Amino acid sequence: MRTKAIIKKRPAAPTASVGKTSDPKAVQKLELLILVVNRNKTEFYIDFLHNFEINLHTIMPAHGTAKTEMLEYLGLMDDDKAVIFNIIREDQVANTLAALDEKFHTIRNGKGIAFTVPLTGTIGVAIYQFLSNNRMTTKEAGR
Amino acid sequence: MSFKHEVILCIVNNGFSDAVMDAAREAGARGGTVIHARGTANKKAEEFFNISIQPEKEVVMILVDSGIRDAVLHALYNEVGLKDPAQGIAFALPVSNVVGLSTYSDKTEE
Repeated sequence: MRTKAIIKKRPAAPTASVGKTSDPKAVQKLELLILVVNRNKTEFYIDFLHNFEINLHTIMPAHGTAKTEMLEYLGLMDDDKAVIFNIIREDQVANTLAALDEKFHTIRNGKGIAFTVPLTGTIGVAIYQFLSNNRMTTKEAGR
Repeated sequence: MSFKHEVILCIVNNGFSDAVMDAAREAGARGGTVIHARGTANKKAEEFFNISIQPEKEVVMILVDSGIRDAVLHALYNEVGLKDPAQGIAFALPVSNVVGLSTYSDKTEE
């Protein structure tokens, strides 16, 4: 005798929503935004990045490797750079990079390069909330 | 997920960043950024592997097209690797988004 299997549709298990979503409390992925700019523009770009919900910046003095002998003789070499590491929420990456690209082309002596590297993990709820600028859950946790 | 660009980080002893860039340029890289750093290591591991870690370091950050990543890494391994006084360690990370690369490369090619 052949029996027909009845497959009941199980209710969806609650899962942590990760990635692009409109839920402000959802877990959002983070990326490392690396910005290389002229050192005298460091403060300008740090202030600019505050507009994109970036809370953590690490600034490292650096210098460029492009060297032209003639420019060196003329004293025109300005190879003092700053490398700025920033942690940014994934949903802010596109806006931020577009805005940075515009600044690279419009600010005098403000040329630079920016790129992102996806993060695979972090640890600590408070640290995550700080890095992702997730103020919604921080308020709730404080109640 | 495929990445069009990768960033190569090469950690070398102080004063070898020019050697790194020479090797990387031979393999097709355009320019890089040098960051000064200080190295630390596990003393027992240093003895076991017979490697000495000089504290003064330079980290050379080179953004490359994914297609030449292996060539650049090989060049760094051969020219400034652990057998060389530079004692270079190089690795690559995927880069998901890039802006400013054209202006950057223009400047380096000047």
